[in-house]
Amino acid sequence: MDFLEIIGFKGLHISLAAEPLFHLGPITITNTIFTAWIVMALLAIASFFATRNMQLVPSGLQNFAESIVGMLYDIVEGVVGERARIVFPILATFFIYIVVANWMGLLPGFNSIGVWEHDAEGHELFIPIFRAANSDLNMTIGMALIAFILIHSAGVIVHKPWGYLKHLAGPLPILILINVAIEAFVPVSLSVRLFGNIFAGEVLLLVMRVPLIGAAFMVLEVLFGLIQALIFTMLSLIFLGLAMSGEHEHEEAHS
Amino acid sequence: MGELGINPTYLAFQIINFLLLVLLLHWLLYRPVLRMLDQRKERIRAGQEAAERARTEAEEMREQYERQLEESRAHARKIMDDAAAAAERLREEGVASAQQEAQRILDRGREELRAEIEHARRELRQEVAVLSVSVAGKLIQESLDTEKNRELAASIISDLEENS
Repeated sequence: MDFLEIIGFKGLHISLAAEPLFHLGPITITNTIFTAWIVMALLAIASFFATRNMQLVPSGLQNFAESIVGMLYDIVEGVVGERARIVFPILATFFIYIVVANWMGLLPGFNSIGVWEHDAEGHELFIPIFRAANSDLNMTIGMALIAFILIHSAGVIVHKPWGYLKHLAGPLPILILINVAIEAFVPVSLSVRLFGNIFAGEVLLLVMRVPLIGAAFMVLEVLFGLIQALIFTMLSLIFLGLAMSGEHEHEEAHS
Repeated sequence: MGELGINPTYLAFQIINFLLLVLLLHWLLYRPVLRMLDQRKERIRAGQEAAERARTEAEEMREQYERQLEESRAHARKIMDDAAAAAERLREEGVASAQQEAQRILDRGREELRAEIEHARRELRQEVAVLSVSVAGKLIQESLDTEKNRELAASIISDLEENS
């Protein structure tokens, strides 16, 4: 599928699917997986240096790490209460990983450094080495599935299996069908929204390769990168909070 | 699905990748940072409690000192009042004894004076009596014996005393 040729940009190529870069044994590494690794490595190194020699009076990188983690923790604790410690690592990683990956995708070199290859039909294909990690549905669906499993396993643990079914059913048992459908669409909307925004941003920046105008769109993309990370994290958190809510009423009903 | 790039192998790979990142960040970032935040919170709380305790102690001490100061003040005031009262009493005693002394001296003087006067008066009477007798003797030219003289003088003296 040659998206850009459809809208009149001949010679430019961008595919919805992430392009394979190289093989690591049986696994093919795509450019998005490669970028995800870079993001992971950067985050791990930065975290290591931020927490290597922690002081009671923070400064520099430690201060920054504390403000980010503290802010995220306050948000998570505000929604799920004392169970925040358990779910916090996944939710915080959603935000931190998505925002860093999105912003990294705006760096020069992304989608522009690459190699030319020939596909099976002999067409020339440009394979970028760096591609924003979230412009790959596998990445966003992967995270959305993790959020989905987190939300519902938390619901089952808090309410017990039968209690969670009743929680899903709400006041009318027939509503369980609607509620299950809604819950099933949560990961779909989470993953497609993030993918769509980041992929569209890439295409947009590729098309708007005009000085000044391109810079203006770049500013917008910086904003979108942050907003998408916030949306993904906050929606996961809110659905998690809903799944864990009503715990006390439930206990009172039993006692 | 192929055109969208969804591939179960990549999907699984990305999920593992992400969970690995969660673990990495948990070890390297969340756990140490949250522990540090807790530590700091605990430390600040302890500091505040210690400050509150110190403040209460200082307040108690201040009250105690004020009480002691008040007691000392009252004590000092009592001592000064006593001293003033004693001084006043001493002064009054001094004045009283001085007055008594003066009165005594005055009385004695008056007494002596009266005795002098009495003495003088008696002598004068005797002089007058003797004189009168001799004058009378000369006048009546009659010699009287000493016994009669004395009786006469006594009667004159008694007359004089009755007249005086």
